[in-house]
Amino acid sequence: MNYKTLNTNKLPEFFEKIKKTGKTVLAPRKKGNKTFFATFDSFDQINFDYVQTALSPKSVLFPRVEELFTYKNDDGTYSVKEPELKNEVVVFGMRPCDGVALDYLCDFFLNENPDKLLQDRKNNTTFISLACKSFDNDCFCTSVGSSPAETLGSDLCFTDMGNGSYYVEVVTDKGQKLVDAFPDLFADTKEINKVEQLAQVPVRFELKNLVPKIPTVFETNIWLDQSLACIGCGACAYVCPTCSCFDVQDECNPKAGTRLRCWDSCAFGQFTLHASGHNPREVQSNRWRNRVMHKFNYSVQNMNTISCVGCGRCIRVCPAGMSIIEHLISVEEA
Amino acid sequence: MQELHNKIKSILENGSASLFIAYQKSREGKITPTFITKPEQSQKAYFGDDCKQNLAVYIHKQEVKNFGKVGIFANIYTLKSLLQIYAENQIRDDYLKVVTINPNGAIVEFANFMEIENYVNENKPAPNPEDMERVEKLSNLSREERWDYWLNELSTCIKCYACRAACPMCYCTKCTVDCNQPQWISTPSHSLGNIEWHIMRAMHLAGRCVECNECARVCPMDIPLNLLTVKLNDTANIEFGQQAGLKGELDYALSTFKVDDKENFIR
Amino acid sequence: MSNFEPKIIAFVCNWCTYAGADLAGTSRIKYAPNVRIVRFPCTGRIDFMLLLKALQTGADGIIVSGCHPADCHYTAGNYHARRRWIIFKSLLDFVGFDTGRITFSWVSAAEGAKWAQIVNETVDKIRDLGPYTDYSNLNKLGVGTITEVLNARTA
Ligand code: SF4
Ligand code: SF4
Ligand code: SF4
Ligand code: SF4
Ligand code: FES
Repeated sequence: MNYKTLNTNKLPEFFEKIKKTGKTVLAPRKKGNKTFFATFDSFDQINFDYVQTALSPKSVLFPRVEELFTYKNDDGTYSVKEPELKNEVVVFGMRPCDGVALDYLCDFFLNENPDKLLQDRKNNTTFISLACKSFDNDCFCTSVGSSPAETLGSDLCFTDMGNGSYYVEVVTDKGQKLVDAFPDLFADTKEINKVEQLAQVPVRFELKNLVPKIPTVFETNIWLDQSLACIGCGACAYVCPTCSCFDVQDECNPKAGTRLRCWDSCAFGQFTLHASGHNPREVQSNRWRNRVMHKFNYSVQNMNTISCVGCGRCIRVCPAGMSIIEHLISVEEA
Repeated sequence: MQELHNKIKSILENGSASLFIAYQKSREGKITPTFITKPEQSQKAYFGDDCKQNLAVYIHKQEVKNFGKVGIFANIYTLKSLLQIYAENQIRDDYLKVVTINPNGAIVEFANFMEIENYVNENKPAPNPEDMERVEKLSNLSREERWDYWLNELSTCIKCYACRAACPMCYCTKCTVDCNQPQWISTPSHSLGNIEWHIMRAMHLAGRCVECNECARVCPMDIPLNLLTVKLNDTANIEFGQQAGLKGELDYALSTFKVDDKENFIR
Repeated sequence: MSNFEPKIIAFVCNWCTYAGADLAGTSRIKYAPNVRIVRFPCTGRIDFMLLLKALQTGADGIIVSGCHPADCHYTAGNYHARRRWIIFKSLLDFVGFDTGRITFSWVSAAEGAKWAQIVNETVDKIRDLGPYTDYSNLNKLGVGTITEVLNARTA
């Protein structure tokens, strides 16, 4: 890994220069009390005062709705067109846990049957994480094997060293390329111990006890107890950086059509509804159990890793105040 | 709080409910609903100004219905919702035990929906002045500006349907957005699908929305979608003198009519 | 725009307006051919969703028409419909949809001439307003990346 520094007051210049090269910069912007990634046009729009963005950067690779292809029927002659993704993007200000999530998401979409669209998007995007200086009650990265110091899945990782400069870890070749494009902005440095600058997030549960325990409570009432409050919306899955379920929709008329991929959520009753009317996950507690089991058991079986990175978004968004931390602790204690 | 705990305890003990729904402060310090089944758990219940969620939504939940008779702690909006749901024949008087705290801090247990109706009419909350102001402001914009405003807001909808799930009046077992024969609403969350969804939702809630503002509270994208139903409620009130959540008998603008209803656009 | 021919979808009830349109035909009253008539048992059956569907699939204008008040074949369908349109129009106005593209009318079985006039006037009006694609084209807006989350209009 290479290490650089960037003067904090050079950040606006960094963004302006990237923008001049024709790339889109996405940076955190405030709407109401929440922070979202938005297209950068001027530096004063950027919000630095946030623990975590409301939506995760997964939307950059896996948008909430995207075109898979369009087709046309010109009097019996059919033609199919796949989208060409050329727009180059730089995402600034995601958190280190988001990097871990992107790493998982790419593993999911690119491993066995690589998804071309996602691959293209990934190739076109440089992810810059901004290491956390603060955290809230809903953050639990350190309980699920990562921490604010994590660099996995980021191309570049910025840490504000509190001395007027960012310490920049160059994690990937893509990150290196971006840094190399602006040699006058970045100075070389050695590896620095950044941990003191970072948020100290407490560990809430013991993952190594929890993971083997979860399947043993599969048949118990614990899921019902936890999920009576769940109203079955899709909010938790949609804000989650690792939730990868999608629905495929055709929007067509006799002359032309589009196939779209849209987000879907296992919290919806319709998610598992069969055409026969039978629903194997008949009630909300079954659906909630699936969510937790997927994150902490099925992913381990199928992909050899848990698929929760502790970003806390699902907790912050839940209309009913459900907290996965609390529920995991209750499994641990069960 | 002690009085509330005792009330819940006695309701569970005397068998008038086998489940009591109230608010609690969770281990994580969040205000969440709690589902009390044992009298000794009654002290979990909590109430304060920070208890915003409209608990009436749980009345429709299958796993709650499975408990049989249910008790519920209701703030004023929850009361309005329950009354409206009752007027729409979705609950039976004898299956619900409703408890509230009146403005003087005393616990009130309702014997039936008639009492709830009286209580709600005596204590009905004033319309939210902020919302009225925003509706007013939007109404004064040009048509194009309004379209721009709503397109901008609604385009960001991710179609998580939290607004629908949180709304006690959205209790359809199969929502129109879930119908695909025909596909009434475009499923994807592109702007067309979003605008269709919100027009449809607002239409279904016109004159039924009790203005608890749950939809806007839960929206991950902070879309002020409650303004749509606030506006339509206003229309229903001005045009037909109908308001939601104040009557135990069905009084719904769109299920009835007057021969001399007025309009100025039909030729 | 000169050769723009508006596509108008008319949702009409079977007993009055449809018969009125029929009368216009048998009386050989000439009117603009831009209208596609969809026949319903009663205006009470005309769900607002049908109007949205028409716009979504490319209608430039819409006519909704049925029996005059007090004349509904089912006694009260049109009274219910009237309330529905009052609410629906209020909503469309509030979201900034140009409700000028929708004509609501009562046309009885004896009013062939009124039907022709309603159609002609609607077609003229829509011809002036131009093709309506704003709505159906929205299905391209928002497809893509996170970039449009906060500034949908500009992305
Ligand atoms: S956000 Fe909360 S209420 Fe909605 S599905 Fe997730 S856990 Fe349930
Ligand atoms: S399950 Fe919740 S905490 Fe875990 S990654 Fe998803 S949103 Fe973040
Ligand atoms: S809660 Fe918000 S984002 Fe979710 S469907 Fe409703 S309006 Fe859309
Ligand atoms: S939006 Fe309409 S159809 Fe859907 S649940 Fe609500 S009231 Fe029912
Ligand atoms: S039959 Fe014509 S409006 Fe009812």
